[in-house]
Amino acid sequence: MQDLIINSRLRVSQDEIIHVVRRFSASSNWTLQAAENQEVSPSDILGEAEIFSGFRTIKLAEDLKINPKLIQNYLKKKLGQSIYQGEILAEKEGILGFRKTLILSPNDGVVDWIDSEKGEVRIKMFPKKTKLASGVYGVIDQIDRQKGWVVIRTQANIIYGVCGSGSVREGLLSIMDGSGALTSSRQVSQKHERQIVVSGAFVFADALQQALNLKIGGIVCGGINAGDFLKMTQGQWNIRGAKWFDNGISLMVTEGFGSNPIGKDIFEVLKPHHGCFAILDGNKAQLILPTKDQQGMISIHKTKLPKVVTDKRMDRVGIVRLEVGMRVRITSSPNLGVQGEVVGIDKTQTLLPSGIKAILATVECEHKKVKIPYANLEAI
Amino acid sequence: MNDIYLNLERIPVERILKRFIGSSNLVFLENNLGNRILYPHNIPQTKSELEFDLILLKESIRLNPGMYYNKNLHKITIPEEFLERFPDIIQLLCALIDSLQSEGITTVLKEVGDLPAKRLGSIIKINFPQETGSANITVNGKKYPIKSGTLSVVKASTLKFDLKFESTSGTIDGKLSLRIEVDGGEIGLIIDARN
Repeated sequence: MQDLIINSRLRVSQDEIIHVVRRFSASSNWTLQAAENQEVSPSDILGEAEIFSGFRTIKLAEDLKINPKLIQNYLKKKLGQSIYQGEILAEKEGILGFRKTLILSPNDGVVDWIDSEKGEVRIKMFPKKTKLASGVYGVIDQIDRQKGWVVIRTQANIIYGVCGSGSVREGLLSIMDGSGALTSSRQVSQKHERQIVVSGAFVFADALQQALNLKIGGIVCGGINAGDFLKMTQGQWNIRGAKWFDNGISLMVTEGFGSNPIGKDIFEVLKPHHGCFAILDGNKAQLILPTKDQQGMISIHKTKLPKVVTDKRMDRVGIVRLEVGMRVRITSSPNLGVQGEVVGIDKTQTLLPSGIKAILATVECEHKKVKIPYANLEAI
Repeated sequence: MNDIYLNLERIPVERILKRFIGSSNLVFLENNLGNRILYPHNIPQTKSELEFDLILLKESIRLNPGMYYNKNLHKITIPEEFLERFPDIIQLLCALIDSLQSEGITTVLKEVGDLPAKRLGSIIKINFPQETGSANITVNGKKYPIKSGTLSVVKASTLKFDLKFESTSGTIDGKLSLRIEVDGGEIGLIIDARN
């Protein structure tokens, strides 16, 4: 019998020694507290940064019901003066029994701009001090002061999805439910803020919107409706990750479009990392799960990596000869993503209901045996 | 494994929606298209999946006509994988004709690995300016009446054969009558008189 060639897909890579890049905001003033070749553990602080927090505009004339040109008369702070949250910014005396009206500052900051035309006051918020923790066990291989990068050699499990969107986001991994769960907006709450949420087989559009509103870092799911995915990628499939998209949340799909439980190979690796630090790169469809075990330092020290940190997405699909005993996943509906072991390969072709003749393979899955055209399988 | 279709990512789902009779559910079709982009090597198992694939094939060909059709040489070349994927060769040829909009007389060839392409037959496109009309085609001395709006297949397995065309309303390459030697083969002659 001729060799039957099928695709193979890299989905999980365990105990890899890799570089992770910890980033300070490029525009922030930061003070480095780490050095090259330094050994770090997850709680070690790499540096501190003062991050610009933005502006807040208060419509004083509108709130006090006064002529915009007269706002200077009601202001209690001068241009350039500091003001703290809850402090009186402006005051209007009550007349003929009407109560006094007070406008309080909503934030700490400096009175940065007074607009007598519009009757508005702008407060520039004080910069916030932020500490950047290592998040991983490892060794610092490189510090790029200009880019605000600290490159750490670490050990990690890496999960590769089939597609994704969004830039690199990090946070604690939170597994919401089983691998087959369907996630709607009700399941997404404030407690998931800045976390990487594993949502199960399917994530509804309202859950994505809710996640965005609640500033959730990222979502890992088995499936998503293609229409919702395309909204995140400006209508482009971008399956090979050639383009870069970000709309405030990162996403990685592990199986395909529609509702598909996260494959057992991936879910079993995810489970022990619940509550641990994770880095999700949506555009590369890649989730990095750094080791929780300090013992990993032995391998990290032993392994050297090239200095150049590549930002390219590696090719994850290859070809192999189909063989009995091979672990495979089904790539066609209605069993998309179901995994099992090849227990038999037919010697002759079978006529399918579609009218196509194909050689079938028998795959023993967890709950059933499936006979399927061999081309609809991927080695994992 | 090679992708059988080219540029699937560029096919607008609305075009599939217009053509696919199996479902009018946009979400279903979008998900199907997305999964086909992810897993282009899949073999359609059901009739509905094959219908979906045929639409993808048409759209893919429409986006890359030069891959299959040499307008100057009047030749359509069918990749071997297409013939394996679409067992109904006439259905496959119709998809090619519809997408490539070939005119006049076109030789159909089949790619066979590294070997020289094999002749399968010829496509004759008859243009009728009106919905009604008829023509006569004579192949190796046998006459076949052709009506406007039809697609007919005539067996002609010899490598070359004589073809005579006569009509009062329909034309081939702008001509009301024609006598020419054309290529035959496994399929023979496909006479496309659809409007």
